[in-house]
Amino acid sequence: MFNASRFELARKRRGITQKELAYKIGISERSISLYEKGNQQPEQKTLQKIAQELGFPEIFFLGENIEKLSPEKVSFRASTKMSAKLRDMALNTGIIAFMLNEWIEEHFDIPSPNIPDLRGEMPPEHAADILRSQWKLGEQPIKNIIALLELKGVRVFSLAIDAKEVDAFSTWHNGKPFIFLNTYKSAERCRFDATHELGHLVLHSSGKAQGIEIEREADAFASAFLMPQRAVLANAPHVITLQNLIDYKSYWMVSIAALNYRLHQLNLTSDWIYRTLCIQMSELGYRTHEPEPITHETSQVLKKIFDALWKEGISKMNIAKELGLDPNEIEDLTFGRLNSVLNQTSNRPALRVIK
Amino acid sequence: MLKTVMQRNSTQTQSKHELDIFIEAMQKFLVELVYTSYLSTMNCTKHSAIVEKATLMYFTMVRHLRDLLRPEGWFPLNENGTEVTYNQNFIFNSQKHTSCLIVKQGNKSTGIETEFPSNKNKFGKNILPYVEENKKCFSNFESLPPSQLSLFTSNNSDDQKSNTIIILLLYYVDKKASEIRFELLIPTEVETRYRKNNLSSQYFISECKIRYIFDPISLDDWKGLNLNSPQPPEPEIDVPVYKRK
Repeated sequence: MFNASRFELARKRRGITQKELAYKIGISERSISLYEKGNQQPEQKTLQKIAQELGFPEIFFLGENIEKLSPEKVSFRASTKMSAKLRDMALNTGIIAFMLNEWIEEHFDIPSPNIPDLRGEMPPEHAADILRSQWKLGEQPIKNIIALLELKGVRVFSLAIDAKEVDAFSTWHNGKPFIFLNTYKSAERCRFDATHELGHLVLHSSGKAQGIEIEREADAFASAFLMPQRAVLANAPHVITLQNLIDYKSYWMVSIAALNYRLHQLNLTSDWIYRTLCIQMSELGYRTHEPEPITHETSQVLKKIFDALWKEGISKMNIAKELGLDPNEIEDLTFGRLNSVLNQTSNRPALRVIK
Repeated sequence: MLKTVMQRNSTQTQSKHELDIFIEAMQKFLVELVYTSYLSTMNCTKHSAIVEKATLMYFTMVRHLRDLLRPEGWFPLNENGTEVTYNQNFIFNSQKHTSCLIVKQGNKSTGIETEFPSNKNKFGKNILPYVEENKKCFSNFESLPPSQLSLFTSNNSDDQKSNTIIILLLYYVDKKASEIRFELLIPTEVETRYRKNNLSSQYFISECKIRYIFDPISLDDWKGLNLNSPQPPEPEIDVPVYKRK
């Protein structure tokens, strides 16, 4: 039986309005509305067209009801700049990730959540210090923030939405913390976004993490967590120039802008130097193109899982089929990790050219 | 005088009480606490003010302990100059209590089972009502048969009225033995001393009901540490993932 909630999810996931979809498949907008409300069932031919247009297998629309993910339950980075359409695309990607995560947890043991609750009257910088203590991280740079999050039980997925307005978001689902990262950003930015979302998970209760002030808190948390005060004070360059910043940023693995901000915040640079560096960075295009970029981090958990599955002859197609999804949907959520492993036919060795 | 020394593996404890959980947490944090606070004193030189080392260590210990305990539901409070870390949801004897932890430098008897410790630095009169509360709360602790001598199983009706418990964390840096000794105790009596040429009262712990003595932590391992030395590389994170059978 055609499921209205799945239809709505698929449409919103693709960022298509009812009107646009109606036009594309040649039916009335009213019919689309009726399908989505569950007041009418589409004919088989129409269902085929819907499935084709939305890029979901027909079987997907015949599954069980899917719980909606309310925007209030989610902490969006840069939510003020985001349109409702982009927000819905991101939220519905989240729901698909919940489905995938459920499948993963049925088949694999992955770390349980270990996220302390640090809500309350506490400066975010202090919370960052506490979390570093709790997780016994010392004061060194965090080499791989995604691996660290996964070790602490956070489910990390990628958001394949090519829109700069959608950076990242986090939420709790069935007691599990989820973070979604837009991998179209620079690697440094992704690390900061991931830590920003960690800040929301630690500092703000689900459903209340909205507003500019809360976003500032998460930024302050991320800055302090990635660049602990004492360590920065101890090993920052004595003279801060643009070149020194570029050299020093590779130590902390943050963006040059984030490092410049942190050094100024810790009174290591004057207002004048901070502003001058900002101008220089803008002139050289460093705000959009990071100098000496680092490599993107990806999910260690997902790689291990899909590597193990591949060895058993289970491919992306198999998982997608079981979940009633398009294989690309899984790839989008898993940092494109499956490309190399699963984009091949199951049980068939890869061909190599031998000279 | 020493009344009770509760050992961690006591078979008398029938169920896990809040204090047990707290002691477990403390045990877990202690090495880190010592490491951080001891490291904070390493930049002191002969030119440092005479109290600098002890003061730095105390301040670092208070701050770091709060950092560690905050996720466990403990909050900082400065109560008339006394640095307190409190937990309002400390449950024992099926009652919710506010538990106040005070870190204090102890005398050389700290952490020695056969001796009775006290605070090295004075308490002000602020301590008196707290100690009085403890005294009420634990008034029949001794009368319990050994089989029931569990942490916080007192049946005293006064317990119902009491809602604050004060716990002291005493530490002592024993330079000769090159170790730091810690113990938790619940003070129930204080003695008053007067300084020469000064009529103001100073209070020192003279009796307690429960002492929990932690294993001493050796300082030998950290003596050669230099804060400015290059840090060892962080090991790669390996996230465990197992296929379900």
